[in-house]
Amino acid sequence: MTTTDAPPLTSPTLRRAKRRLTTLFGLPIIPVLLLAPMVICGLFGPWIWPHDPLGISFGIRLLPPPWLEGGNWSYILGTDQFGRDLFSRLIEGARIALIVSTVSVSVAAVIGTAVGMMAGYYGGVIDMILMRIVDVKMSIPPVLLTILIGAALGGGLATILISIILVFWADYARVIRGETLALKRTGYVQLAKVANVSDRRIFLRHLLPNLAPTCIVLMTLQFGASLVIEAAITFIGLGIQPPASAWGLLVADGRTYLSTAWWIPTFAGLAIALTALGANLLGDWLRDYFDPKLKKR
Amino acid sequence: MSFDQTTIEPLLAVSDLSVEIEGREGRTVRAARGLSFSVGKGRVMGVIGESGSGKSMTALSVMRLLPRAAKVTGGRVMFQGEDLLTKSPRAMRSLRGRAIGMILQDPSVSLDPLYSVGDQIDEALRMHARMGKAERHARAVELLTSVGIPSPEDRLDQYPHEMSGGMLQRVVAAIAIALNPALLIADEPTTALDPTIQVQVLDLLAGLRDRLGISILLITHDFGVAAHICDDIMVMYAGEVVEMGPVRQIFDRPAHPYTRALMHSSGAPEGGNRLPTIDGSPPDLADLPPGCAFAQRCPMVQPRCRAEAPPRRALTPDHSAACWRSEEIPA
Amino acid sequence: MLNYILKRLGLAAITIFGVLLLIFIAARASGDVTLLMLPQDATDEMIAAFRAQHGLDQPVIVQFWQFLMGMLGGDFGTSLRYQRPAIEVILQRLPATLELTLSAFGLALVLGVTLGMLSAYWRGSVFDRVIRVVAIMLQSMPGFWLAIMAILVFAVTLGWLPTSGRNGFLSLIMPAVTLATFPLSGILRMTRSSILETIESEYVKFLRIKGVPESTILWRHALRNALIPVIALCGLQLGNLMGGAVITETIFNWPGLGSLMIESFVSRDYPVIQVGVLFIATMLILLNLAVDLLFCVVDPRIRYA
Repeated sequence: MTTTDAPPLTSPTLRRAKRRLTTLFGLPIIPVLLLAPMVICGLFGPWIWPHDPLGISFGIRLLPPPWLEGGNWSYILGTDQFGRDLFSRLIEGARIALIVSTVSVSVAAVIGTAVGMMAGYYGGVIDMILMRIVDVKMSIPPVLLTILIGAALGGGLATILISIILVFWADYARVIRGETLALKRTGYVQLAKVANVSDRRIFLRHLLPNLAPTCIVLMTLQFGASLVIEAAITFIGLGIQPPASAWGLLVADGRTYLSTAWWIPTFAGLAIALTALGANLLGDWLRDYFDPKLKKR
Repeated sequence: MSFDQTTIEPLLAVSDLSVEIEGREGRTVRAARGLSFSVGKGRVMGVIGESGSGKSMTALSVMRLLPRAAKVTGGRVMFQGEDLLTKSPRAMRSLRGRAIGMILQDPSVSLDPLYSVGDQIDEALRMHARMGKAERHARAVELLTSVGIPSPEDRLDQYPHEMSGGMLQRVVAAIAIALNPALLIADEPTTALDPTIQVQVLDLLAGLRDRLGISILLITHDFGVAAHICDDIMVMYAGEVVEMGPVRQIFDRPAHPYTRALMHSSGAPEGGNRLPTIDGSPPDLADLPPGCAFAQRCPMVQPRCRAEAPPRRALTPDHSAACWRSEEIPA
Repeated sequence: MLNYILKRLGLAAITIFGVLLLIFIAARASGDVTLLMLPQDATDEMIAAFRAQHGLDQPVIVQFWQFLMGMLGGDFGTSLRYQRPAIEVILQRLPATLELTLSAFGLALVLGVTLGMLSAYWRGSVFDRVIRVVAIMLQSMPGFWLAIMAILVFAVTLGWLPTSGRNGFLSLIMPAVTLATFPLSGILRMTRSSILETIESEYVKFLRIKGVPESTILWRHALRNALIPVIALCGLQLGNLMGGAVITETIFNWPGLGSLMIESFVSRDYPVIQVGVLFIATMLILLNLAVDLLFCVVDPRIRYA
């Protein structure tokens, strides 16, 4: 008997109305709205920012947002300690965040998927080595790994990218390995093997398409995580260096001026948090979308 | 075993029971529609039907353990002269496991994996009986022996994952009969087991009835299983009883086309574990057609069937069926 | 069970070896340490002598072997900044870090499990929805930003709590609470889904059939089963907590291991960084080993595997 389905929370009409309100082109509206500004600013920054994000002008140092006393509507989020427009700096920060996250997550996904598939499919030595690497990775927190790498390479973009890739690829590989193991036992992969289909073809035609949903969900969630990690690394001084306008740097700068210019760390942090929230919500939504069984939870 | 049911007050008498389930998108699924049946003392009643016919919902209504979305919307469940549907949750709980036991389909997930088998038998005894520790231990050993588990002393300390499906179902049965219940409900107790083990578990149930005089409500989709141990059979279709009577009479002379179709699909050589296959699929319980619910799949359908639902009527004093053409059905 | 323990111990040893290898590779990749260790006007002879003395003229394999033997033999090198054994510098900072991380972990565990339970219990209610939204928001929020906002509100604006330092209970509140947020949301979400899965299980149905009261079902059966995945998650969250501690300690000037690591990075105190990473990694490996062994106690399926 399978009549024990979850009870509906709303009536059909309400439900349909709700769906229309919450999705846009088939995607959930809230995550998309949270992610869109970052992507748009990241891609079209130079055409959007009202001021040069690096343009120093000491006459307007630490200008508050316009709705406060002393603010100026030309600088809608205020200025920093060098009189740079905070809004423009946030837009520039979106570019850096977009580049770092996209590059690191994509590279990690490619390496992780490849190694995970091989480990799951062939097992044996590859699998053993992978699982030990995952163990090592689990025992070193990302920030410490960055310090270790940073000590070797010095701070900067390369350190961030390498750290995040090193942290993320193993996560990928572990999950993909598990999925591959499960897929390997299914009838059609077994059948393909019996039919002497080449491994390459099994990988590309049978495994990869079935792994794609998992990859997409993981990449989305890691996109959010990479934003936070990048900002954290930059914040402690191991990542992007001044005078760039990375979000993590803005929060770090703002720390010094906490009592006089609260708007600097507040808006920069909000940018990180809301964008990461968008990615996490989208990831959760995609997971439910691909695996309706989990929807009940 | 050929008591005349009508002269003895039945142990369990369900009358006019209706159960509705709030389904997705605001649909209301009518899982049981005016069910009436009774189980006499010491008798085995088989409930037969395809999955989705309302068998398990019926059993869970008797236990008052329907899932959250399901509700009893009418009828009475008289057990030992009292209506279970009006009992307080507390009184009902004290009845469960003591006066009514139940066995579920899959023994491998019926027990808590974190406690030993002995502990879980003991829990039932602690819950319902005033017994000392040593007394409970002795009773647990006795129970395992009575369900045919060898070296019960050693088995008590084992955990569920260390036992086979057949053994586990025996343990589950031991828990179900621990307090000498008057009624045992077995919901597809053999479906998840190997065919050879199935017969053993059925023989165990029959033995319990013979030795302890327990009444059994056996839910199954398999006529072979029902024929093995049942005294009476009720055939369910789309939340209704379409035929009921002593097992021999129904076998010799089925009075409903659905019963006949079920019997023939169960009679296939694979026997045992095979799910019955009948052409077509059961009707949507949230949107039932007028007339007989089986009409769309019935080989003997007439225009009248689609317009007017046939009432269940008696063919002999203890055999009844809900079909306009009962008399014409071939054996 | 003995097999299981031995296997776990073996894996832990291999993992520590892997960490050592990683540290060694990172140390080699940082270039020639010779020039850092010697005065700038060192002659070629001095350099050669230094290299020979520290085995830097040997093949890499030999160097790794010597490095390994040194570490295993308890020779962890000397802090360049403090001119004291690196391990001493680290141990001195350990209590502060333990105080911070254990407080944060305790907080995350108690709040996470409690709120997760309530959320599952009142599934679909307003409370459940609010809790779930808050959990996912906490997970997306950068801890360092949360810390700075907390300073802005509770220290700068309201003046209730000290901005930084380690000076009594009041100074512990903000660091511990902000550090707890990330593991909290993970533990909460895991508890909730795990409990939901458990209470819908067949064995809970069978317990009801036995006539076991709901409270016994919850406390004796459902919770114990539901907490197994939560314990597994806690092992993983310890790593996040240590990582978070590095940043939290820096922000609040908490004199622990984490801020030591950042200071060492700034002052290029490589031996301390290496030993610090090794120390923290070993600690996490041992803690996870402890978690694995805890499973033996909780879960008979492993005990007899």
